[in-house]
Amino acid sequence: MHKIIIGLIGEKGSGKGTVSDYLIAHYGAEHFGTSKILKRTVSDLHLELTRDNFIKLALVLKEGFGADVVINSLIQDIELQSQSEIVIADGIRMHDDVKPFLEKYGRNFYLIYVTADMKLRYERTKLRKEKANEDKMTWQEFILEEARLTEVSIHEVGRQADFIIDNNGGEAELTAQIKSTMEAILHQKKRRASIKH
Amino acid sequence: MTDKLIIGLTGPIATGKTTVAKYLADKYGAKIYGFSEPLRDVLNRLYIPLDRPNLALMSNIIRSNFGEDLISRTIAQDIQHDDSPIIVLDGIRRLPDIETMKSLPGFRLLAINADVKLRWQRMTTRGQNSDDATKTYEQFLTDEQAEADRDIPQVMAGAQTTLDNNTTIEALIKQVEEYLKNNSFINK
Repeated sequence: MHKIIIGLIGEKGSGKGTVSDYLIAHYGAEHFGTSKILKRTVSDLHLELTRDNFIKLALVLKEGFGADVVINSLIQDIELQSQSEIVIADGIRMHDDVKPFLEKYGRNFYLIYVTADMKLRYERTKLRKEKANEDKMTWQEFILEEARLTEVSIHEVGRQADFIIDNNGGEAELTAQIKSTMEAILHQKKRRASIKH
Repeated sequence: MTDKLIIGLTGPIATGKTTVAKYLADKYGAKIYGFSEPLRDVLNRLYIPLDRPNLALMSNIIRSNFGEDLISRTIAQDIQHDDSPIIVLDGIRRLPDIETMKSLPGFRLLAINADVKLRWQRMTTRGQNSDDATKTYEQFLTDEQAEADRDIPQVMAGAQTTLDNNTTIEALIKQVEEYLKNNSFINK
């Protein structure tokens, strides 16, 4: 049986983490993320664990060792460590990030884009306090962060995803969309398996 | 910790630095710090092959983006909290690294040298890095000119003592013992 690899892409505060948690809790999915890879790399170098250092490190590593260096490490982590039939690959941002997954997993790879309006995402990041000082961020600062190259490409790659989850509503709407997306994915997988046999 | 001896080892590729470091560790309980250790960790983490060009490239991009002395500062911090009687810094290659280490009390720079042809022969048999065994003599000479190793002669010029490793391990060890005596580590 081939694993299902779900690439999750979404802007800051879009609810990507909530979707991931739901998939773990209700579908036994396993989470693999580039942020863990970058975090360990930054600690290996005894650098401060800040978002700026993560972004900077990712950029310089890509410059030095090729655009796919971090994504390839993520795929290696998945290959060596994953136990579950459903694997979440978190940290896709650029076009170049998708290609290695398609090459490796082909039609077993699904990209899901989680998105919401900017103002709503801003309100949510202020509430969640996932990163230091995030709750104190002004609207202006949020807009500036959104203009970063790494954030802009998320919208572009996301638009070409296999599934789009619109998280502008409440929890019930989000859950319903996750369920229908997973139904579609599992159905496709089943159909393909039956054709083969 | 005023009597702590901090020995910075420098010298070209395959000159015997690791041999000396290991001897000091086995006989005197020295603690070894490698300058390339954090870089090796990062390469491993990213599943990038541990060969010399990748180590050099990683060193370059880390230093140019996060500060020339990032790695030496990290190691200097670790050393200050280490109570071992001898600390060995294996593989000092760059002038900025010396500047950071000079500020540590008890720091001494020790160079090891050997003939280039002999070093090449030794390297092809040891396999410290994944590409060592297959390297031609010409490639070896090119490696020595690479950015990561370019400063080494200048660094060596600043050493208080230089050991000669053109003959046997025994002869090298004898010089190490002599060196420890001269630096009042033995029979003080």
